[in-house]
Amino acid sequence: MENIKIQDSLVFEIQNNNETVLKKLYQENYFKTEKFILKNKGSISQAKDIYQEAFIAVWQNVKNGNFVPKNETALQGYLYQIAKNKWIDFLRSNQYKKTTRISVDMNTGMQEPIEENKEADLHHKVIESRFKMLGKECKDLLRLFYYEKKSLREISKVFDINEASARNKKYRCIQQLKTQIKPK
Amino acid sequence: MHQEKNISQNTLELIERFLNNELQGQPLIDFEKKLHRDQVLRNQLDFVKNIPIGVERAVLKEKIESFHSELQSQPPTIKLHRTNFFQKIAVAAFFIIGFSLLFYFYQTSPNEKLYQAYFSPDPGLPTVMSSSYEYDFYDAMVDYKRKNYDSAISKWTVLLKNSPSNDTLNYFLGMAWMASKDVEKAFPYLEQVTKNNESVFQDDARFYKALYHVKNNNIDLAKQNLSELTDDKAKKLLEKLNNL
Repeated sequence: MENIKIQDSLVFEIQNNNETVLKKLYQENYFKTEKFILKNKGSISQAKDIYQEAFIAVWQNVKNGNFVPKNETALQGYLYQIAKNKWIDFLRSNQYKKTTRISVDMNTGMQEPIEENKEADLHHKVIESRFKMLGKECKDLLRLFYYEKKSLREISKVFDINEASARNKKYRCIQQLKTQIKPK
Repeated sequence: MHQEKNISQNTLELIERFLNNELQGQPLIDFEKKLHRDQVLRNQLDFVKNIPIGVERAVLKEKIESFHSELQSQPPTIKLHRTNFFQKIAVAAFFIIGFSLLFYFYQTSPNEKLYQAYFSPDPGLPTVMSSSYEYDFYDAMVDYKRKNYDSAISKWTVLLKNSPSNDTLNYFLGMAWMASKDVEKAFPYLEQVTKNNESVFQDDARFYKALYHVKNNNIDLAKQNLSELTDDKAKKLLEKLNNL
């Protein structure tokens, strides 16, 4: 019973982007991945990129329900495994042609973790890149609504407007996101 | 991603209600029927469905950059792990330096002894950024930390051509040359950094410049550089030079 509570709570916090939980997960597991990548022909810069990709994939898989961690340790293990797999994929890719041999300890035999659906991932990346081009006000509003899960009523207070205006503003921001019109 | 540019506010909110399972009864049936026959609506649904994760990913990426930069300045749990590693290095270094000192005290000149006693290469930078320039810089930093000084020097020299006054590059090129025991080649780089009052490496470069002068028996110049520094290591070396 206690385990189920922990599991539900962890998933809930990740689904709601709890900053403390995400930060702890990120910071407590980075150096283990860095060590692995440095030991296996990688650089610090590559370790960071691979770890961040893995972190986003883990976050997304937990959000989508593709991975349900039993506890924090399981989540940490999953993150490390995804990072390792991503690095092994890189070493085996055409991008890394110099590789002649991959050390035995890299082949863990563990089941490949489920990663995000490739087509959906492409759509997310398009939205992601368009979001970066939005003006500050739209970025703030969409961040509050989608990332911080604030209601339109809460958002209206932040912008000091009424709820109907917040709703209209959100629509205009989404329209910008869709049409890629830069804000005036 | 589809090409239809506009979506009305009513359609957007209808799609959002559908995705949030808030549509029920006849409105739900009507919406599903329309969805079945209307490609534009299906495309719009596809777009709206992907907004939350797309936005969240963009925000999370900004967040993790900040998590990462904090990690570099004050590692929370890994600190212990790193400390253990550095403790081992420190113990090993203590013995190596100890034996080296004994050897040199019997073999070499007083100045050379001081140089050997006080010279240890800068440990390097742990931080990493993601631009291609920084990638190249930190790629060379990995070589430097692994004592592949020749490789680090050749990579940083290429970068320096585009940024000749970059203090970080000058400093670490000086360090790499010094660590590979070519102090003459190190000197111009260190000299450049000591002239840069904005550089965070200015004091370190001055200390190494002082060591360069010690090695070359220019004790007055060494003292002059050391007298501008306030840290204990510099003060101790200055004291030793004064007692020569």
